[in-house]
Amino acid sequence: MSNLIKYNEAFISSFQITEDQLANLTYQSVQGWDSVGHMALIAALEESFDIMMDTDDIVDFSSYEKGKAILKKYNVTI
Amino acid sequence: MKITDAYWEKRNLGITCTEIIIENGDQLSHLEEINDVLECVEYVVVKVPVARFEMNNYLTQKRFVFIEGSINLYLDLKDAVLTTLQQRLNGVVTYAEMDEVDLSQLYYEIERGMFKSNRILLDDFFTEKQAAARYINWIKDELAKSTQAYKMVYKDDPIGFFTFREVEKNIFYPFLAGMYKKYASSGLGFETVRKPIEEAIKRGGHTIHTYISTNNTAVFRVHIQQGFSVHEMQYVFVKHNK
Repeated sequence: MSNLIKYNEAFISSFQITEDQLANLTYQSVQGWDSVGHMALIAALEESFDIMMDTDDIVDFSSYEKGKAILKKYNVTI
Repeated sequence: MKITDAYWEKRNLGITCTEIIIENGDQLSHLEEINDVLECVEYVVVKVPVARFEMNNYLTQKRFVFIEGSINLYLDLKDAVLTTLQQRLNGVVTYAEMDEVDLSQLYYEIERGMFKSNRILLDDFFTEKQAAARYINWIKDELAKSTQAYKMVYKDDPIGFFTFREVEKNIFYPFLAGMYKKYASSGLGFETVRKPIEEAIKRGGHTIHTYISTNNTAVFRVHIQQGFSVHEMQYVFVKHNK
């Protein structure tokens, strides 16, 4: 499974959304991406890519696009 | 039925206000008896227990508008839970009682739109400025009594606040909490629930209870996720007479 598929799947399963909603997705732009959803997303990404993110990165992870840049720090290229 | 002259709303909102709480034993006839009272004030708020459809219908016929559900939640502190990831983040967020400088920052944050789902802001009859003033006055009133306000801090930066009051021995009521704009999208919102739990545990408490609005599903979710249970619910209707 490619990194992009794994990345997308983390959003889709955490927020119960569809793939067409991913572009331009930001924190609170869908009902599922609140504080509880954010924790679910980060936990899913950490498990999928076998990483442990710094707290600053968890706090900064505010959009679908920004998340791609943050994961590069952990050698995960989307 | 409890009828309260909400005189403080004259200062907060500039209008006369009466708040009515319908209790389970009340009959529709009780509400009909106070019709004259309802017409004498500019703004009326009525809270109805759920499943009292005859009350709901009556209020709707009297041109009251449903504006929110109010959910009373409680937590036995021994049932408080955090996920592993939340525990990691919780370890780097601290809290401390606010001083005057902190309170000034809080009031500034409220004025710039910290609370977006409250029934005053959602009501076209009121302005954002009125809604903010109401919160600020409410906090000031509470601080003049036996309430404390705490700031939450991440890496020396205040991220939000919570208020805290002991309503009965070992029972605590954090009646208001929120995140500052800079951290509103940080995922740290769960701390507005967690830090009051920690303060209650520190004080030897056994229960926390609070009220949340059905207009704010995120706040409801974060309470349930940390172990809160629903105690009771009310429907809230409002009417503007002038």
